Amino acid sequence: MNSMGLTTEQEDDIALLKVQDHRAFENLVGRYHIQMLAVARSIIGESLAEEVVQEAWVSIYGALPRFEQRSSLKTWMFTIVGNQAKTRLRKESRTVSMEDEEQDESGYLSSGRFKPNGGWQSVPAIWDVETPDLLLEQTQLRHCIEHSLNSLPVTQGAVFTLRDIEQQSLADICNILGVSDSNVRVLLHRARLSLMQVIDRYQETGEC
Amino acid sequence: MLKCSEVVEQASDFVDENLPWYSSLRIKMHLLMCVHCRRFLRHFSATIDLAEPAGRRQATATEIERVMKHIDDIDSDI
Repeated sequence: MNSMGLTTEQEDDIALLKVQDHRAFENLVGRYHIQMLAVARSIIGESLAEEVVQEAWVSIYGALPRFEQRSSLKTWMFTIVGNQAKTRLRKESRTVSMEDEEQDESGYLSSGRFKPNGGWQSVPAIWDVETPDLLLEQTQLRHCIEHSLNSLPVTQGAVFTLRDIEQQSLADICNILGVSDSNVRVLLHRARLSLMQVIDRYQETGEC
Repeated sequence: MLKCSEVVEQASDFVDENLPWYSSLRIKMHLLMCVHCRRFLRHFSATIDLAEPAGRRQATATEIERVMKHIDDIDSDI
């Protein structure tokens, strides 16, 4: 590992990317395109997200020789797509509704889940399998999780992707999406609880 | 005494270590006494651990091709 926490292999990848190696860039697109779309979609909406991400990839490709590694490569890329989506949003003079704000609270946050004194009314379900490794071995559950991630409201999905899948810091997520710290924390918490309910349901019924 | 509903509300900040030390301590004290909240937090943490391996999705060959074609088109225009 170097001072940026990169392995030798990752350093080699970055060296190839900086000389605009096509194969290395294809791998990069394969690895991050879906996540870039999630970021763009949360800022600009579904209809223009693909276009914004295409333009962001062009910018990234062009700027790679000048990438100085002051942040991680993925933070740098997510920042570029976030900035391009925000710029496009301003140009289009559009507003994208934050449906996440109005979404019903998920089961674990609903008042029916607790007694008036704040104790559990409906206690958490017992899971037959609790360890992540064993849970992941269940193919059907993986499909349920994938489906659930695709069904999250877009901003929740973007926050969850950036934080729990891509391990971005909360400060970086606020910057990338242009959302306040408190909002990011609320959206992340809701997304995690939604996903947990999917696993609850799967453990109980064997279905999504 | 912290309520179970408050443990649930603060679960993300607790596992992300975003709570002030006294709030975190209150949750830990509650967990010593509440089997349901212990189970809840165990499942909650497992859900987060599952996210990265289960949620990471690779773009399709068509999606990759579209991006590369776009870049090649722009390159050839320069």
